Amino acid sequence: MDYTIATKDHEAQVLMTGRLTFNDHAKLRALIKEMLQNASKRQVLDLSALEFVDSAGIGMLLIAREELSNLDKQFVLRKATGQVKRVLTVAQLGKLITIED
Amino acid sequence: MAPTPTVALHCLGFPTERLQQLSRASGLPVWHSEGDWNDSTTRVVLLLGHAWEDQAASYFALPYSAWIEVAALADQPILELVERAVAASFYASFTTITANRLNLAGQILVAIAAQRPLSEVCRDNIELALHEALCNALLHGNLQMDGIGDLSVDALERFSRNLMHRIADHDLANRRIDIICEIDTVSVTIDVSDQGGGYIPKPITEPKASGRGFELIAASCLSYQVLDGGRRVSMRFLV
Repeated sequence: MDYTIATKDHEAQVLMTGRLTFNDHAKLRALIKEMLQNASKRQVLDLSALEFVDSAGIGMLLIAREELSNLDKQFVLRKATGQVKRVLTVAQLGKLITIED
Repeated sequence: MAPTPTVALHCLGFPTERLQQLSRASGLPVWHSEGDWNDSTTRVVLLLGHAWEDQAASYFALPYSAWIEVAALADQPILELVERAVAASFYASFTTITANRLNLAGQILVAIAAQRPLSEVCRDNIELALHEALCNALLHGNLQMDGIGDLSVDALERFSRNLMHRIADHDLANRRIDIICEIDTVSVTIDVSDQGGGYIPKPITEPKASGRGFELIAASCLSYQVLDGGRRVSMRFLV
């Protein structure tokens, strides 16, 4: 997995690419720290270029939501497609994180 | 009646003399790419020695149907794995440390799809369930680790440290993970087994960062069973 962060319209937009699996634990820690440190109150994770996510990837997204929530920041998942969208649905992540098309 | 497949041995990064010995002991011929083989009926069991990982993707394709990482195994255990490989549609046996480096689920899916056309949803289901079963075998089975647990960066950091610590343990890292795949006219069955202490899934009662693997497996396959005291999961998919 790789990511880039850009700030636009008062929100931080993170474009995530590749595959998000348990082996991305170090990168996810770095990403969460960057999202906690930047000034934007709204952190949007653009999943349009993410090809695959596993159960540990879902767990790490929930950690991001929890840590951002502790700093009163909003965490949004956007534009998931294919396998990623199906896994978000099966894991019922929409009950815990805002998901936008 | 379909012709009986010819099963042969091939190797990468492995001494030729030892391959010849294993060929004699197993009764399987040694395969050569330029040899006079019937491409449609030949199945090749590939023994992987050293320095093959950079080329791994090109070997998860026909005529290869089995991949055995030799590591420190003596001849007799290799022959036992070859016997399992001969009996299966597809077979893979890797050490934990190698399984952690390779995208094994993706590679084996490519090999299955080359033999049996699969819809996109079916491919996604097989890849996800196989990936989750392999993660369980690797983390909770052979490395005997707990999941990430709490919803915090601190818990994620502890998980990272623990994973690095366990994978650096020679004995744990060399425990094996086996994948047996059987294909028939209507279904694909995949068994994943490990050499850990046995892992029995527990239901999730509150939001946690881990524990969703079997939920995703259940959603991805027709049925699954946890066997051998939690050391093997068997999953069946309709295709």
